[in-house]
Amino acid sequence: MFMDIIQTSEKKYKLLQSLEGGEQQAWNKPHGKLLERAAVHLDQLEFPGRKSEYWKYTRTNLIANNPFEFASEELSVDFSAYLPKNLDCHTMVFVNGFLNAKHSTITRNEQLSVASLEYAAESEKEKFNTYFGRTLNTKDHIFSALNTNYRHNGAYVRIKGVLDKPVHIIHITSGETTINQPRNLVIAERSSEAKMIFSYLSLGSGKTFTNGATEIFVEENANLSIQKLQDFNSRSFQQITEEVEQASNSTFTLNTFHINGGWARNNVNCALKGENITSNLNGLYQPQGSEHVDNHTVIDHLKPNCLSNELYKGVLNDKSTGVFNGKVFVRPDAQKTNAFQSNANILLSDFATMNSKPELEIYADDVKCSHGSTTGQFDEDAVFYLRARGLSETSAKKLLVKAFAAGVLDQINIPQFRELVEDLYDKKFRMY
Amino acid sequence: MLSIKNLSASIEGKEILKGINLEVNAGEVHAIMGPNGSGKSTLASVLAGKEDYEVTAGSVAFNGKDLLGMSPDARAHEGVFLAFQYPVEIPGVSNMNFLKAAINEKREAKGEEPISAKDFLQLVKEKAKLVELDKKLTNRSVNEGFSGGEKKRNEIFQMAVLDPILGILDETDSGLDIDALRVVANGVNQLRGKDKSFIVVTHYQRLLDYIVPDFVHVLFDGKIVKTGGKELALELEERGYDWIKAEQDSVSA
Repeated sequence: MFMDIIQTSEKKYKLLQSLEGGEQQAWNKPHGKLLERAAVHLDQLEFPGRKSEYWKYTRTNLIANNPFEFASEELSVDFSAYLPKNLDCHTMVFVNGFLNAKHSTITRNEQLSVASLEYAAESEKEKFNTYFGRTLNTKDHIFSALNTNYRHNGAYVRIKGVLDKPVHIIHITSGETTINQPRNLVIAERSSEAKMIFSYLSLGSGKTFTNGATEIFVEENANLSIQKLQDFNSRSFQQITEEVEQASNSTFTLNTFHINGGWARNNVNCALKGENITSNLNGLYQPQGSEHVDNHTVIDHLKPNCLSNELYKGVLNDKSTGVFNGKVFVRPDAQKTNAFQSNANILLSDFATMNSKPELEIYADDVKCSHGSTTGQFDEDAVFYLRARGLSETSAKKLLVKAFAAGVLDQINIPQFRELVEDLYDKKFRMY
Repeated sequence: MLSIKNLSASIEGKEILKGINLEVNAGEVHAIMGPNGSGKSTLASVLAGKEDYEVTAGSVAFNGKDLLGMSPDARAHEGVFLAFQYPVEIPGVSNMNFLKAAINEKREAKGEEPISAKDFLQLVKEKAKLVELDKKLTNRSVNEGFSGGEKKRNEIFQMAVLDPILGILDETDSGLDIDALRVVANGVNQLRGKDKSFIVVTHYQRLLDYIVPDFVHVLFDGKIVKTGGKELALELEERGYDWIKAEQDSVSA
């Protein structure tokens, strides 16, 4: 019946016209119901323009008004540069939505499941159906509805106990006008402890669109940390939403590192649904040229005694633009909330622009909340001091950028990954 | 070594240096004294290459080369070192890392090999002792959380490590108590040699009891108005700067 709705309504966007026939097929009945709903939502929603507060500084028309296509499997891909050295991981690689069996290890035991969604929908049916689609909001957000309605694939990660090595999920987009929709589901079971890395990469110079959605459930007393890396070409688009639900006494950390990428929008939403929860969201971005990096976060304190920390830092060069919008809700029941948020930016050129907006909505009265936002330039005295000792202007500024970024890099709990990120930023950095 | 001819400089359109002439030969220590606003720090900053200042006339030759045409880092490679009056704090930049980078950039400029980790550690240990700089301060970020005295000692420590041939001390004694002063002065004296020169900019004579100069120049209203031996410093200490001002007024009258 829903297919009728889709067929009769006029597709207003070139994007959707070009995707016709690419709808996701249901893996099981509950999945099918989700797809139905998402189709309806997609039909009702519009691609946001300037009037939308949530998308005020980030234009979506270049995605909505352009055709993209689902690409075929690509077997030979070289992403070795993105594997942290001397780090043994449970690794899964998806290229354009296809599981790359050669470089992936599927694990299925009591402690750990790392498999594709399709496989998990069948083999861990009950768990899968309990969690999949539970927290991603397709009703209000068109990109999430798009991800759900059209072809998506990715990793199902279920963790029990303390993991011996990190799980590394790599999503690669390649091709000329490819749309790739990574979709992941992470379940950190009660009292589990795990580290994960998500790498979102594009290979080649095609104009691609990666529309990702990851649902993350951190159960009671669990501790999950995720390092996220984005590295894609200057013509491409990447929109990634992480929806997180945390239960009492759990700790969750997500560190987002934007290395390269023409148009990036990250939405990290955390719902703190219990007490004594800790949520840490950190991010680093160093756009150059005409790159645009938009980080939006929402942290919702629903219950008492929780702690959230946010530290996002940016170094903007040339004509690049950046956006940070951090929303923190403290609900009436959430007494003794501690919520700290900070966004600091350095502009290396006169033509770079940063839009930074902290938003705090506090409905409880016994809380400690703070937010800070700074956007400025390097202390010229510091630059001169270093130059007067013999460091070139480039070296001096590089050193100061590193010192500035260290605050966020220090949050990485996998040293080999930190080394990789530092190398990637080093390669990118150049003087204006 | 250093030949300053008719140097004039201004900042934000205001002329501070109005024709400085100064010759510094290898092995000499020259003290520059003068009342506030005379241009002492400006002279030090212009020699180091601070871009806020605009040179409006004159020349500076350093070992025959045009110093004013060089960037601040090029001047450092040639062997110029400025010990700042107000050393800036640079959180996140380790004292050790940046010094090592400074040494290596100088070496690279000269076509030399970079310093080995072992040699560097040895060098740092040796020089830290010279200025009684606690080991834990060397491991910290540049000047972060340092007291005034520690900052000044860190300047001399860096000078000792980088081994320049011309050391310019910009009011290194300001804000120091007598003990810190002695340590700093001792550090400088250890670095003196027949191939090294120092320009010591100071407001008070006290430092010059410890770093005994070969020449004392009085800077007044952007010009060197008097030059003498170390006794001149003592005379200034006794009589203040008013008599200099009076002399200048009568000359222009």
